[in-house]
Amino acid sequence: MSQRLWTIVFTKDDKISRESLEVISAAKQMGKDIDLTIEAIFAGHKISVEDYRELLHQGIDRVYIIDHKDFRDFNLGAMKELISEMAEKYSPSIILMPANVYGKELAPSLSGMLKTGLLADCIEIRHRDGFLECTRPIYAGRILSKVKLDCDGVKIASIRPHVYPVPETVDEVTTEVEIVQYNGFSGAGAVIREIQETLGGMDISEANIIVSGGKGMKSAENFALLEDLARLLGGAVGASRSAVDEGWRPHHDQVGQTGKVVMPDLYIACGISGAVQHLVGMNRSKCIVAINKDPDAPIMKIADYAIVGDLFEMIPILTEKFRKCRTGG
Amino acid sequence: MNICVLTKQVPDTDSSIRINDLSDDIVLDGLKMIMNPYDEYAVEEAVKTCQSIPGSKSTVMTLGEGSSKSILITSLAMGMDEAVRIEDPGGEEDCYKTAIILSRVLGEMDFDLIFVGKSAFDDNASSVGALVAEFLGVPYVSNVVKFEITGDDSLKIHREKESGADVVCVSLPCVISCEKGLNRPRYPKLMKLMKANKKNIPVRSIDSLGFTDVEINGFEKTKTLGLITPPCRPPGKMLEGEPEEVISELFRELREVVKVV
Repeated sequence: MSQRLWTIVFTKDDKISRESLEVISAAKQMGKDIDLTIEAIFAGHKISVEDYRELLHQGIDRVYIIDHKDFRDFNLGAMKELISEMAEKYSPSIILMPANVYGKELAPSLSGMLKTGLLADCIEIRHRDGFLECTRPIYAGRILSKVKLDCDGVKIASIRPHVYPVPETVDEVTTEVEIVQYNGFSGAGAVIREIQETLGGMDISEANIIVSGGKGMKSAENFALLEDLARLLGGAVGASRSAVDEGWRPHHDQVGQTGKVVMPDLYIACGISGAVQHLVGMNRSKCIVAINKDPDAPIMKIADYAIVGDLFEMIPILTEKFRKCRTGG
Repeated sequence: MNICVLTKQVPDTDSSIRINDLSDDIVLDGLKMIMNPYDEYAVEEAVKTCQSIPGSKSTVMTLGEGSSKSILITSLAMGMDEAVRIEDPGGEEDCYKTAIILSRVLGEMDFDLIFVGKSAFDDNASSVGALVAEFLGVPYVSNVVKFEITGDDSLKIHREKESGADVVCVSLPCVISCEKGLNRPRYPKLMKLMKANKKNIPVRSIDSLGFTDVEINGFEKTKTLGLITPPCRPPGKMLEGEPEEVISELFRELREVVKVV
C-alpha cells in the first residue's frame, strides 16, 4: 500500500524557497525504493494560484493549500497545530521539511507534539527494511552518523539545504490541489512583528561562487578587492571567523562551524589559514582555490588549486583577467 | 524572574575527533571537554538579565555524567546562582529522551525564561530546546541575536535567519535559543572558579524523577547505526611562481578544466 509522504513548503521573498523544492527531490528519491504518495503542504495568506504554481510542476501527487492570516509570516505555534490537526485526519507516514531556521524550529516541535522521533539535518535520507534511515553530519561535519528512526507513528526528518538538487520540472500537471481549512491559532506563541532583510547582497549559502576572506585581508576596506571579484563572477563574499570577530564582515557572511555551511561550485579562500572550524563549513564545495602566503596552511591541503603568494598581488590580476574576458565577449 | 539555562558538555572544538574501533562512537579518551560553545551565550544572557532585574534567580542545568560537573562550575563562576546535574541514564543519546528528562525537572520549578545554545557541537541537532518548549507547553524562538524585555511578561527578540532577521514578540514563559552575536560571554575569573568549586551541586537521579527504565527506553526514538569519516578530497595542485604566470594558469584551469566560470 502506498505510504503518504508530506513535504512542508516554506517561502522566501514571497516565492517558494529553493530548500523546499530540494526536499521534494529527497522525497522523489525515496519514492524510487518504496511506493509513496508525495504531497506538499503550502500555508500562506491571500494565496493565489501563481504563488504555488511551481509546486504543480514537480510531478508530485497533491498540494494542500491552507490560506489563513496566521500564515502571513512564519508562525511556529500555528504551523505545528495545523500539521498535527492534518496528521490526525490524513495519517501521513513521513513528514519532510528543510533544515533551515524555520524547519529547525518546526521539526523538533512537531516531533514533541506528535510524540515521535526526528532525524535532524539529514544530508541523505532513505527507506530501508521498513525503517526511515539517514546520514547526518555530527561534530560540525567532521563525522557522519547513520541513524534510523526506531519509533511508531509518523516519522519526521529535516533535510539540510543545498545537498539535494532542485527537481526537474514537468510540463504536464497531474498534481491535485486540495484546500484545507484552518481556524486560527489560539495558544501563546511567538509572532513576527517585522522582517529585516539585512542582507543587501546574496545569501552566501545559496551562492554558486563564493570569494571568502580571512585574517590575511588585514582590514574591512580590503574586502573591496573580494567584492570586485565576486561581483564580476556573480558570486557572494564570505568570511572566516577571524574576519567576523575583527568586525570586518557581518556574521551573516561567516563560513564555518559558528557560521554557515556552504557548498558552492567555486570557493576562493583568500588569506584564510583554514582552521578545522572553517574547513567543515566549506569542504564540500565543488572546487576550492586557496590563496595564502603560507604553503603549509591547512587550507592548502584541501584546496584543488593552492596558490602560494600575496593575495593583494594575486586577486587584482585574477579580477582583471575575468573583466577582460567578460568585456571581450 | 526565574531563569534557567540548559547546557551540555562537549569535546573542545579544537580537538581531533576520531571514531572508535566499533564505529559506534568517537574516541573520548584524552579529549578535553568544555561547555558547548553556544551555551556560553545562554549563560551570559541569563546572568545579564538577572543582574538587570532585582530579585531574579538563575539556575543552570545539565544532563550528564560526573565529569560534566565542571561546566556547571564554570557557569557558577560566570555568575549563575544555582546548578543542578541530572545523572545521565546512559543508552542511546537521543534528543527526545534528553528533552523529556530535562522538562520533568523544569516542570518542578517555577521558571519564566529558559535559555539554551543554538546547537550542540557534538550532535548538531538543534532540537532539545524546541522539544523542551513543546513538553512544557511554552513558545520557542531559535537563533536569537538580540534580546529585550518589553513588559512584565513579554519579550522583543531578533531571530537571525538565512537572509536577515525577524523581529519577534513572544510572551513569557518561553524557551530561547542563543546565536553568536547575542552578547560577549565573560571569562570566569580564577577566584570565582575556586569559589564555585566549593559550592554543593545537587545531583538528581533518573529514579528520583519518577521514570522507570522501560519508560526511558521508550523515549529513545532514534538508533545510531554507525559513524563514518566524511570522504577526503582528492589531492590538489600547488601553484607557485610569478603572480602573472600563476594566475594565468589558474584562470585557464578554472575556465577549461573546472568549467565553473
